[in-house]
Amino acid sequence: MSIFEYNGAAIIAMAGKNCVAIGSDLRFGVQFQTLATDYQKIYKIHDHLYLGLAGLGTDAQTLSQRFVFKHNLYKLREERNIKPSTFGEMVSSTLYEKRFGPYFCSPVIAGLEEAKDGTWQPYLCGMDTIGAIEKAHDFMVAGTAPDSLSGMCESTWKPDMEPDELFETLSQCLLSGVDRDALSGWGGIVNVITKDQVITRTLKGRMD
Amino acid sequence: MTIIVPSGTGNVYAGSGTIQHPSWSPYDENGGTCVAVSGNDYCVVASSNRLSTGFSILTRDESKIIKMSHKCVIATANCQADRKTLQKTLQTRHIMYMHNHGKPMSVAAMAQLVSNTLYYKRFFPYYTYNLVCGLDEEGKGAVYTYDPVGSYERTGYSCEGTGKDLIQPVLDNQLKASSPLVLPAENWMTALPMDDAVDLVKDAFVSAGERDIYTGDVVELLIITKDGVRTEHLDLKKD
Amino acid sequence: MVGFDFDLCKRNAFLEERGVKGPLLTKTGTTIAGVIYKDGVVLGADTRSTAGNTVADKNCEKIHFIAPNIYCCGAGTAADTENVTGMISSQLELHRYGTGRQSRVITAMTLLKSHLFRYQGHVSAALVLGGVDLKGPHLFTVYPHGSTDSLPYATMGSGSLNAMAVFESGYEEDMSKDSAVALVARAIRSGIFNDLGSGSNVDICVITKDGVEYKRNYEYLQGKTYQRKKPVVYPRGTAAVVKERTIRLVDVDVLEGDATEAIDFRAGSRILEGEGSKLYEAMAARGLAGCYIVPIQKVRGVKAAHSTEFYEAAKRMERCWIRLLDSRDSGFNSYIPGGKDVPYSSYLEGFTGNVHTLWNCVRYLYSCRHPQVE
Repeated sequence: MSIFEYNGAAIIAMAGKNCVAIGSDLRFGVQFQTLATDYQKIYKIHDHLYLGLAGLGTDAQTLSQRFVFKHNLYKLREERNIKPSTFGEMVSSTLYEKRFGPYFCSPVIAGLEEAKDGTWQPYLCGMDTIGAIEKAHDFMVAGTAPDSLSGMCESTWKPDMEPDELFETLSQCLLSGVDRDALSGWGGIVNVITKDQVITRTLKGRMD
Repeated sequence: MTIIVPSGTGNVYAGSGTIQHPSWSPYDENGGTCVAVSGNDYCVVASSNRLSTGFSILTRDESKIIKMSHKCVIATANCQADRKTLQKTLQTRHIMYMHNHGKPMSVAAMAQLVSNTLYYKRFFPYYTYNLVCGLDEEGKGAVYTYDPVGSYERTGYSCEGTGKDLIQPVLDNQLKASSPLVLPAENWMTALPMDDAVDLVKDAFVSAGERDIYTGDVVELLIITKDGVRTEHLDLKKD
Repeated sequence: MVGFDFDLCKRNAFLEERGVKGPLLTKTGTTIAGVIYKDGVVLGADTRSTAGNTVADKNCEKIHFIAPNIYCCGAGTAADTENVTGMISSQLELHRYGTGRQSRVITAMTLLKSHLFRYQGHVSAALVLGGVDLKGPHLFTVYPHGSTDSLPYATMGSGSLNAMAVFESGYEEDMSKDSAVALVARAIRSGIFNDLGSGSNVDICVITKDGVEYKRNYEYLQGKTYQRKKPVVYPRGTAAVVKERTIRLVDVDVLEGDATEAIDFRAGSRILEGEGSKLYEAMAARGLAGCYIVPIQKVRGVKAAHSTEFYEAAKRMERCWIRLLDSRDSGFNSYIPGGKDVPYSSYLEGFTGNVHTLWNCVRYLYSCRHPQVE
């Protein structure tokens, strides 16, 4: 067994037109035993920035707390919210610090960043456990069945989706993806982030 | 039910009890993906023609599908040596059957034969992933899916090989597989018109080719209808 | 110099001892190459990164900046190549600030090899380092254990043999820029098409004493070969939604009406947008006494009767604080028992959040109307 498969997770982030969405499954288990079905793996950093952490639950919680702490310090010093791309670099260096004894977590970062022309553009990136950043313009996946998720995304993602369409596409990718993974699923949650609002929807999924 | 998947190296079922050098394996993983989608009066079978080992491409043009009759084909992914042996054995058995009975095997019979042939080597399996596809006695599309030691099941569509993880959820999503436990019972799949099924299979391969390093070069599609078997080819990325 | 943190090593080693496998790292399977030509150095790389048998990134960057006159191609573990080049780049930048001189390629090479040697190959970065300095063009390969070679043409990564085969047959001394670029691109293509660890596009970087031409995606080799005739469309409502919650982030909303309309607030009916002061003016112009809902970090007003109904409405709006305000100049004080020294927690029953933030928001609204108070 890989340590990544101890608790189980599925996370997808997708970019749309001036919007971005990030979703996760809701299962928390210990190997094949499901312990909770309301455990989301997505953590809010600020209104326009969300972080998904797949992998070992204990490390995900520790890391999320460290990132919230670091963001609080950043706000005190800078008196503003952190940019998603800056946050990505911060996550990367935090993980690489533990190069030889890593946290067993692979993060997915989704956020909106104000461009020079005043529009809000999606920012997406993912990492391995030691912080190798992988930027994406389309979608990013992480979890116990990344292939199932990326296979779905690869064939359904298209550029410039509006928030509603983005939500439906991501939801289908998540639901169909986790149905072929024994360690994730049990419903899902999807956050669609636009400049003006964040819509959080809880999805109905198979409970087996 | 446990489906047995032999591991590639270091876990050798020689059966004879002799100790072999641990770094040597009688198996090679040669990759490749097979997909089959059936409908009311057709069956689409496709496989990628790349043959590879490790990080090398052995050939870009090796068909993985054998046509047994005008109503039945077998698609086989992974270990090339085992595939060739298996397909040759099956073809021989099929010819003998035709001599004895004066007609080709039905898909159901072929499906059982494949299962028996695989299980015959239960403790030194053919390291292959098979799909038996064709039209059944009623003329409906049929797909049988296997594990390497012969456990099999008739399904409406299936996917095997290195691109399986990428493609299977896409097929599930598009063909709406409901749980066999759902009450009231629902059909196991929504059958598509044939052109849509071909469209879906082509897209599935192109998508898998983007992410799976062992799926690429060319896809060979066999479209089985009551009029026979038609072959199509679609280029994939060559990197 | 980076200091690694070994806190979790013991725990992770323990887990491994118990038969738990470690995670899969992103590798750059990679074909990277470089040649020295007449006027400088050409570096090339493919753009695929892999995790196991799957492609992790289809268009990653493997030619890293070291100094304005030095670049470095990286193969191996992605995080290592990224960080080791970044660290050396930063050291060289500081060195340039100190000395006021251009960095030398051999300095970069020495820094790289001493770092890699220190970690005995555990920092798995295989590099092709190229640049032009006062001594002319230089090309080095650096191996993960810290050994180096100085070569006229070099390749690294899983596609190194494919690329080297091209160099061995096509390399000439003192090539022109065009033929050097063509040769490197051909070497990288050879890796892309024949090595499964390499793929996607060709990046090229040409370094001369006069500057650098970084040609990102110099060759885009192949796109998807098939577009679906009937693309998948998921109409609204395809996924079954159990619960929906909207958090609005607009700066200011003013809603006219009474408490029942406040309930519809989330549906977005009759919303005016504007600055805090405009909000106040809008209310004052209508001579309204009103309630304000003040959300975190933002200012938002909702006019409604200050009734329990209103509280009920506000409760449905998560993340909001509520404050009663009067648009006549009496301001909020008339509705705040005891003035600003009184703790407002009694007002905040049922809501989460920080009383001080609430107070700041209220004060902000008030100061829009009465600048002198501030």
